[in-house]
Amino acid sequence: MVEMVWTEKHRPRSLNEIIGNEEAKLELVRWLRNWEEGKSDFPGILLVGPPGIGKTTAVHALANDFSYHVVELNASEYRTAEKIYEKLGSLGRSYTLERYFTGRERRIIVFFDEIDGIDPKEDRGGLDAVIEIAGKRDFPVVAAANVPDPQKHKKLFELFKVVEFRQLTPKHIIILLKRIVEREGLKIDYEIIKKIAERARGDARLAINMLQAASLGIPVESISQSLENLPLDELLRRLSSSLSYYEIKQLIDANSSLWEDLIYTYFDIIARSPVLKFDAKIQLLDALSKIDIYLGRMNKERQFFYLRYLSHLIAWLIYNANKSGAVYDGRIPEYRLYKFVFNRDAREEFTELSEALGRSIHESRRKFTLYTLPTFCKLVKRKYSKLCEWVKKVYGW
Amino acid sequence: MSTRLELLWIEKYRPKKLDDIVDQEEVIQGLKNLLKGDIKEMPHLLFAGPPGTGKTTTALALAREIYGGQWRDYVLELNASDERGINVIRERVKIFAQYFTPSEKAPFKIVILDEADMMTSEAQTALRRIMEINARVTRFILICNYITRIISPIQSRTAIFRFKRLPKEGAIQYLKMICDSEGVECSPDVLDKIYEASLGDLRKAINLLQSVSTVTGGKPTVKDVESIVGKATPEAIVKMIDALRMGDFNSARNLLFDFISVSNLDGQEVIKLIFNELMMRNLLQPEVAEVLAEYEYRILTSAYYEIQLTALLAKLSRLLGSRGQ
Repeated sequence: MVEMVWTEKHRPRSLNEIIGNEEAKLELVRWLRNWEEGKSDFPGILLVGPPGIGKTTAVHALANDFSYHVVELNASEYRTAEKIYEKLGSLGRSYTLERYFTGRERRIIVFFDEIDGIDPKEDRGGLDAVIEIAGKRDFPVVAAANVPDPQKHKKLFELFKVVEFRQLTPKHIIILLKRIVEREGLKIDYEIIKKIAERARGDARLAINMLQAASLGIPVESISQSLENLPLDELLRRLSSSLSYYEIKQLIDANSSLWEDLIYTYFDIIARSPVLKFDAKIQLLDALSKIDIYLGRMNKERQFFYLRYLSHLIAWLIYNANKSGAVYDGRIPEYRLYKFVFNRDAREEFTELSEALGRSIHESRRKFTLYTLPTFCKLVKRKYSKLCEWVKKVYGW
Repeated sequence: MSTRLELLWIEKYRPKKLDDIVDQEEVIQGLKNLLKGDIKEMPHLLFAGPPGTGKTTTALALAREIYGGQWRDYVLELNASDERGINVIRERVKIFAQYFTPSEKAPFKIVILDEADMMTSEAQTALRRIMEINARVTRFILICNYITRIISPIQSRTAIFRFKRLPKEGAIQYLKMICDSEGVECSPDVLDKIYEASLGDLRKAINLLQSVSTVTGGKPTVKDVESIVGKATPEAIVKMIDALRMGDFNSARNLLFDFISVSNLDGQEVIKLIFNELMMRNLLQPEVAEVLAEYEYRILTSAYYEIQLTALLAKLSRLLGSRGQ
């Protein structure tokens, strides 16, 4: 059997089971009762709060407690007014038919999740449709958002009742995790639960995911979200200190903005490593060369599917470098010096002069540098002595 | 500026007239026929052929024939390998073509685009549009080594002139003329050697002649030519290959970085230099050539060619190093 994701398996079915946000839960119930009696001033409700703290769960639990059916319109699927009406229209018909045949009334809550994903410009009319549907008062309408925009969602703020969901405290999370540990019949150290609760930043979903990973024997350190956006130096230290392939992969995925720096730094580490066996060095450099090609293709063709594979390839590279002893030693990667500092004045002067000289004899800088410069430097002594000095140093001419 | 650089013989002895171009009779005859007709009808031109066969020289001479002494006013020279990106070319061509009224004396302006085969095919597609938009007042002369690297829509819009590798006689005659004029004493053996080393590339031959004449005070011997040919590769590259033969990868890498950080040459050119040097030293075994080919290919789509060059050095160090031991 497929191992079920615990965030689904242990999702509360009733508001009573939801831990924390007591005030918000009460508000929800109060509003629904008023709405049913036609007494509510608000046609709909807007749940606001960070991800993973139970907004979606609360809506489903509310529906369950009061015998409603939830029609969820994920904003990322149904965006335009047309699409929203289309979906609701067909649902309306099917529920009418059901009532006709079974005689049972099925009540519906319309739930617009991730409403901040509707773009007022691109998904024209999407937000207006939400407001219009709520305004008809055919169904109770609930919307949820992580980061509502005071400008974009102005109308929603004005018309809907806003209910705020807050981050959970570590205490709440500990209660939550303990409950799951109990239900699963696990033996997990209290220290680990405490550690997860501290690192989850009030996000229940993240905490549960971490707990499930911990139950599989994966160290909490490597899965915590707090590993995102590490400074390069810190990231390199962690990568060098560990770790299983899986842990490395996690770290890399969490810090995708640093991939280019990682590639360049490992290029440097591998090329300069005094401990690597030469055959291993050749192999790792070849792996780097391939990574570099995919990176180049991705940049050139704007084909970002390469990212999927790059993350594996980079993890593999670092894992193998670690295993062969090529680890970060705190030195600034040489490429940075080389790119920006080494011989910079010389390069600029050299490039400028060879370009100008080349042009005056109808040659490109490239051609002049490669074919004519040696002759040129044998002829001139004073006027271009600076150029020739560099030529002599590097070219030996 | 040009007078000072006439101390370079390739510039000083660059033929000014179409008639003086060495050994490209067919091309020259074709161009002359073109000039005899209605000059307004001149199409865009594409000069293709090996390096040092007179393509740029012919383009400049043609401009002189059309415009006379004032030719510089009507000609824009661009180098596809220097001018970064098609936008630079578009801008400069636009400005160049903008303020111009065709007249009897100058019915159009000319853009000479050298090394056109260094452009990506996207850039060439854009270039094709530029050529069309400006066709009324501007003619393009595209110059390239490999015609196959020019996209076919451009080929089909140009009159193509193929330049041949220079035959020995014509080249040696030209070198002799320079020797006479500069008072250099050169035996036929020496000229033969120079021709041989330059493989029909007159630019290379003249540069070589001038270098060896300068060093020997105008009395070069075959030995002098040989020793200078041996030094044609930048010393950093020579030392790098020495290091590789000793299996000293680290020194090789340091030399490489020192070299590219000043010379600002790109990865493909560095590989070409390595290739030439290995060939000269008879070190180009099949497996070595294969590695070079593989990495030159990789550089085409790579993000950082330094990584490719370093990986290449590691491989070469294994291949050449074991051979040396």
